[in-house]
Amino acid sequence: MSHHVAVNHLPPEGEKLQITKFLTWRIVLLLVGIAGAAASGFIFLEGGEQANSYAFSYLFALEVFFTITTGAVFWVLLHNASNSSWGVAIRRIPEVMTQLYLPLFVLALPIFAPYPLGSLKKPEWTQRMYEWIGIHAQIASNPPSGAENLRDGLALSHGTSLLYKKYPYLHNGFDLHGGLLPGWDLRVIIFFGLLFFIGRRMLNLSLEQDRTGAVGPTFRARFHACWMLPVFAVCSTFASIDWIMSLNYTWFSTMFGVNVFAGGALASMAVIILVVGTLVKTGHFRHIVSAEHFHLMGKLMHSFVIFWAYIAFSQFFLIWYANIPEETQFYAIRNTGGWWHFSLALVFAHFAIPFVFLLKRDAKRNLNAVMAASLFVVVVHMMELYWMIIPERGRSLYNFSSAPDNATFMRDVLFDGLAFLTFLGIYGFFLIRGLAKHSIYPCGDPRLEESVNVVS
Amino acid sequence: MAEAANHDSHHAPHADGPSRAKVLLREPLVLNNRSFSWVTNRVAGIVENPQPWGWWWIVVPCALLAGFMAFCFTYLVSTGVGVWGPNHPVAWGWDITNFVFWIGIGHAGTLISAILYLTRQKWRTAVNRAAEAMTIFAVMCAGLFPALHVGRVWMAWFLAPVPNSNQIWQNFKSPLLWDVFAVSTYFSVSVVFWFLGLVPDLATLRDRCKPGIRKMAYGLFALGWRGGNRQWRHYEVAYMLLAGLSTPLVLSVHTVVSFDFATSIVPGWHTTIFPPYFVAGAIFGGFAMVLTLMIPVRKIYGLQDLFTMKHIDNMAKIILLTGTIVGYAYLMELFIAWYSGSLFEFDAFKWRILYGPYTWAYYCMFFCNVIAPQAFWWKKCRENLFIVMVVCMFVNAGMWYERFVIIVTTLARDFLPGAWDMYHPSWVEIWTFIGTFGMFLMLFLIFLRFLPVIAIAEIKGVLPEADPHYDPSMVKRDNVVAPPAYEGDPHEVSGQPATVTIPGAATV
Repeated sequence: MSHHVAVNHLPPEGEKLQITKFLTWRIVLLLVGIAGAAASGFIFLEGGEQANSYAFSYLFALEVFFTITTGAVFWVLLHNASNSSWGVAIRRIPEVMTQLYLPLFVLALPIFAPYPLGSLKKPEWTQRMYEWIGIHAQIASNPPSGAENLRDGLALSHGTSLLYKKYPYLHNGFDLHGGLLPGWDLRVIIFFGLLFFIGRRMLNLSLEQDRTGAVGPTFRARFHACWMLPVFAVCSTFASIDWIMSLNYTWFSTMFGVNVFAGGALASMAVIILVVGTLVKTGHFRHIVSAEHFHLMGKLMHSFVIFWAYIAFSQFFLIWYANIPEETQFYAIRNTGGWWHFSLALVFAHFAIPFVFLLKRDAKRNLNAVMAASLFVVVVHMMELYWMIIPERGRSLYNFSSAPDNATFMRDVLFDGLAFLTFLGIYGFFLIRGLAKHSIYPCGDPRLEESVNVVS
Repeated sequence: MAEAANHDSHHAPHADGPSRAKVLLREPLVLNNRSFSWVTNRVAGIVENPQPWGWWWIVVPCALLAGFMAFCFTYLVSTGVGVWGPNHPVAWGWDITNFVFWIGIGHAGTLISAILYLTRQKWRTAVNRAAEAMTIFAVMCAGLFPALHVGRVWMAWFLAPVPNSNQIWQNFKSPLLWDVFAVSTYFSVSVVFWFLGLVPDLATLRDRCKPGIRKMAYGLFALGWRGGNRQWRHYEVAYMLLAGLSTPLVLSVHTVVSFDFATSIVPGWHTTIFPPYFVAGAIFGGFAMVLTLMIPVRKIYGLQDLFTMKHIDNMAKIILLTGTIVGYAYLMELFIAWYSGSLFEFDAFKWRILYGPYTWAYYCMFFCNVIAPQAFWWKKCRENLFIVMVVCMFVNAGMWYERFVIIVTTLARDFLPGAWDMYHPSWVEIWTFIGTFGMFLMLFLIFLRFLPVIAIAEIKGVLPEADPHYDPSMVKRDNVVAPPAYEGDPHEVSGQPATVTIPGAATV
């Protein structure tokens, strides 16, 4: 451990990102993002079967980055609410990540916004992806006789009684027949809005402290973080239910929101480690971040590997044990065919391998080792979301098979890659841009001295 | 690149100018600058001096209640489980409710000892000993119920997978059997963990005793502890390893208990969120019970400088957090019961909430577990010990109601309306449950009498002087800011003498 670093010896303006070292990255990411967005736009505008398939890829990519950003909100809130000090040195990274809801929201529009523009209809690919929206659209365009509204139509049509029951939750817009709950599409705005507001408020308090060095924002951040945690929990849970669980509106699990949250928080910590590690490797954070911080972040990552496994296993185990068809259908399509190998790989990759690897102290303190583990964790988080979302494509579009033929299968895989790269490019570009705006650590935080001298 | 991030250690710090940042001090964990010797005298004094009269006033009735519980159990075993209230369809009544209630309380101790230790929460040192003791006593109370509800108690050994001449093996597919393994393992490890932590303090008590039986007993259990450097090194490694081993155990016990219900297909029981929800509920109930016991103890034995308002504040916040998690689970269960479209699942909740015979129990549960702890959002409430005690009492009751609601309201309205029936506890069940409180409190009071209620050696480790880099001049720097003070407990500001005078202590 290095000698004690007194906060008086640190520069008052903090430390800026050495942007010259990231110019190439920024340009490459921007170009990839723009090219991907153009290709995505082209596929969606073309419409048809390709767009229907691509929508799943697009949702997968959106969820990867949405859950990572939501995980960043969690870490910022947890840090402030628990009155913690160790993480002050690295807190600016998740704070900046929380600002990326804006580009994500714009990117999410092809799935959630009405299309064609000017109508209130959801695009065809959304109707195919979320079958309940498709059924709603069919009944709205061809209502059964005697139906005064859409909910009546669901009640009077054959085979849609479940959707009639679920109408108060699963509907679009603001419909009094569905009770007082805002619809699925309005909730998208609410979730993005509230989560962005939380992130913005936390960053603003932190920046205010950068400028003034006052103690007050620490207490205000703690106060706000506490009440924001339940708001965060509600948004995070229902976003998972709305966007992933309702891909199959007949399936349900009380644990699902926690499951998605556990993976997101884990991957988010991995991304924070990757960003801090990259900054350290490029000569940033001198006297600020030490091996102790990586050790602590590595421990949190390790604990969330276990937490994720606990949640994912419990959900699987209880559904498997009770063996009720309405519930087992989720695992039935993932434990058969090619997905079986994928499910098995997930057990090892998402739990066994990182669990064993991160047990070792050196694996958490050695920068290369902990960064490699983090990269691996991000990849397995992608795997998990892929495993949650993509099998639904086979169920919805290809009558339960993975793909009708090899060419379609290859196309779909390429689509998945394209969507991911699109989001990666745009997300990465805005992340670098965000990091360059402010000091890369909260230079006015009264717990900074405690943080830079932390011993794990 | 070994420990690459330490690259900065070889360079001098920046000298560009003073930072704007201030240094916000942490609240001291021991108040009034108490010395090492004061801590030893105060805590060991509780064991060495006669107990206050109040101790006898509580311990004797508790012992009588525990004795009556033993009578109830004898009556049960000699007559049969028919003396309890369970019937068809409510085959589980107060027995399993009480089991889950006590086992939940038994979670806080090892949580404080193990998980808070691993997460470097130094404030745990003031509460861990009492919480661990409480854990062990609570698990003992819990273990009585499943052991006795089997009916033929003399066959209870069949729960252990030992070879027998009948070639009958346990049903390893049953979560009820996993319960036996989980609870017994948890109990064993908790006892070892508690005892390991006690060793240095037992040696302290041994060294302070006059020669005699007491000295011999403390010496026997102190295992020859001399406090040497090597001993401390070994001790700390062992303690950390046990903490690491105990952590999954804490989580596993209530997870397995939740499996007792959730692996079934009974509506209201089969829900995937049960494992984390049960664990959160157990921590919630356990912390409430620790506060229920420790707030009077700190007052009676003058421990306000060691078990401070900061500790109470932290524990109240954990109760608020876990209570809110429990609330999340209640509402998520309810939402998914509706969202699933499953008639049976949603009806189970309608019976619980809208028109069943036990709706009152649901509302008691919801108020006690979700609404009452919300008082802890306000610092004024966390600083007011009366309110803290009231909320903790609500939580204690609420966690019992939770298990009652899960078990009884569900079973009383099963699939066949013709089989529906009400459940009424018999006097034997009621007195058995009251008796477990007697046994629990009696054991806790005996623990107070003979063992140090606060970990003397550990709390010395969080005193500022214990830090080799402690710099008293640090607080005089210009940019140092003191933390906000706690209000509401006038005892903290007044100094207490090093000699121990326990109010109302017996002179015998």
